[in-house]
Amino acid sequence: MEDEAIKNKRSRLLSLILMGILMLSGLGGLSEVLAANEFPLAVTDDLGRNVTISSEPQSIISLTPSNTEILFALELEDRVMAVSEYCNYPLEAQNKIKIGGFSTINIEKVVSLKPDLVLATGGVQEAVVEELERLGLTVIALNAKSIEEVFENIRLVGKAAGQLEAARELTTKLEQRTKAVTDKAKDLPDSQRPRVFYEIQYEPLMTAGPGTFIDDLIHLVGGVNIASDAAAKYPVYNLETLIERNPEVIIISFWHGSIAASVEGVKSRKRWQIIDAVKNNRVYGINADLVSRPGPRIVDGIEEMARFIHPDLFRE
Amino acid sequence: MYKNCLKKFFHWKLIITYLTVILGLTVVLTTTLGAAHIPPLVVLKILLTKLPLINHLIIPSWSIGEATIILQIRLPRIILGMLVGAALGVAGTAMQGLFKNPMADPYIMGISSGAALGAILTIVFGLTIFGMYTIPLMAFICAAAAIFLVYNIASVRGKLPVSTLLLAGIAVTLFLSAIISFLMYTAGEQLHGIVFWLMGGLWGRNWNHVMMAFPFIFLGTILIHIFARDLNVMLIGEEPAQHLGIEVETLKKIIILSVSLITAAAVSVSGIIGFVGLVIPHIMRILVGPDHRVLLPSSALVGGIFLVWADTLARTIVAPTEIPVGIITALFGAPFFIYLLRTRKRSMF
Repeated sequence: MEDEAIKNKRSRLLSLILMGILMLSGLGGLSEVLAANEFPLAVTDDLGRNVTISSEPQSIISLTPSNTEILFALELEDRVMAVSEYCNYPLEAQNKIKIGGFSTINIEKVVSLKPDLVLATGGVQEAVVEELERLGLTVIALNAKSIEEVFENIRLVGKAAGQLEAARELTTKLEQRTKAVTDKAKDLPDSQRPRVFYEIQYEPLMTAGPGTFIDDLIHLVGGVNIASDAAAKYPVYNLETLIERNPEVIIISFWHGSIAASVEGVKSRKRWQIIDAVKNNRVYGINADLVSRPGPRIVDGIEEMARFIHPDLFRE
Repeated sequence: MYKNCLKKFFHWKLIITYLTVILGLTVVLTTTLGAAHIPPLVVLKILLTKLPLINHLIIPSWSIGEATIILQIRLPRIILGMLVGAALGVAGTAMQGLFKNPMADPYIMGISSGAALGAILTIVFGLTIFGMYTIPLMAFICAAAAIFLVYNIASVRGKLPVSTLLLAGIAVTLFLSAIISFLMYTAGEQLHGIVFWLMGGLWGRNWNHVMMAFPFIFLGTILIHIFARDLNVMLIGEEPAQHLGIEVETLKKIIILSVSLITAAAVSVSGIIGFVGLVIPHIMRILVGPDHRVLLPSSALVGGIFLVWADTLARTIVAPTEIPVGIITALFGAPFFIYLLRTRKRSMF
């Protein structure tokens, strides 16, 4: 165990020196090749950490659902050793070993599996990242805050796993699909941008405010999020303001395997009858994972939101 | 002596009249304040349409949306705030008086954690047995179950020793809190809903919630008021009270039952709003004295006034974002209470 940590440290040191020499010697051509997937290689993750990956990782542990989705989309599923309890997509991910929940990672278990690479996130997992690194594991934290950063992260994972080409191919496709939507939506005049209310839950009434993917997505596909001026990322929203701002489209979150919210339920709320979206039958439901996980399916989310908000512009 | 009593009676009457007027003004005034931008004059006109005799004199100059906001969203919420505040004020006063314990509050019988467990079970398992009122009804049922449990643990041969009752309440609260923590730990996406329910709030309430809570709060409050004089006698101690002809054990049962009823009703529609039930009785005891005949009604009125204003802040201060009202009650109430504690001349009981 300790030996390995030392060995790991030594090899990391070695690769750092190697990198240094390469850079100093100004061998432009060679470092290009390195960037294009020669191990050892160095990457900078979303926490600003410089991580050196000594050899192509054959065993990877993902600590978040979005990381798992990225790995599967890059067809690295055979290298995925273990995932978190919340990793429910694709279905095969559920057959992998579980290393705890999102904020309740079982560090002992992760270490005992001896992965070549761990993909984590920031925020609640920052302490876990530090701990795993201290225990000699190679950890990359992905913490995308925008759609562009999601694509960058897919390429980052591709690079770290020695599959940069596949990652580039994938993100090119995803970017094209996104562009197809945003190109149509970006020049819409304000008068053609419907007011949208996104309901995360009803009791109490919670929506997505500024700084969330959902807010970004509504804007990208040519809508106006009526909660853009809220004072929190996920605020409880005032019912008076909802009626006053009178959304033309209401989109509700469906969580897998839980709660009461349904499109019919929204339409039957007594006080909501005077809202345009209810009057005009424009209440929709969306799988929450598509619009909240910073993974490749965010593009599915964009396309679905676009169809809800501009049904005449975007058809299936 | 007789003259003195009469003076006291008029003095009390004056206090209650003042507070009632202030409560009335509070309701009207806070109805003109809100996140939606409706001119106060329009709000008053909309309110007047609901008064008999003069309603035909008002010419409507507002949209259906504005009428809905005032009559279906803002007004029921204010009325419910008044009811819940009054309920917590009365319940806290009665519990502190009965137990002669300044730390007693309406939640002491495990009501808060019982209600919370009911609400959280509903959220976690997505129960819909009572439609959109599943959360309040489940909260009420589980609160009642918690009270029943505490009561049975504490009763020894038909008697309810106060210290055993307090400890049983604490024990049941801790036990239920452990279950709540476990459910929260494993809740995943529903965690938000649970946290907000625990913080307490009057967001999104409608007239049906008012109708659900009103009968329990009204009946319970009346019942406690009837025994105001007996609560006074209890202040000299259980044994002397028994000698003076008070059925101590019966009184305890009636008060506990009434308090439980009104608190469970309040909690089921508003979540756990702290501070009001603990501190309003103390504030009123400092201001009007320890006699329950004036202390109970004034605690109810001030509890109502206080919670309505706190909730008005909660719904307007960073509108359209809502703040849990429990944050406001403690943030503004605690410093005021500390000020009173430092300057008071009389002792607490």
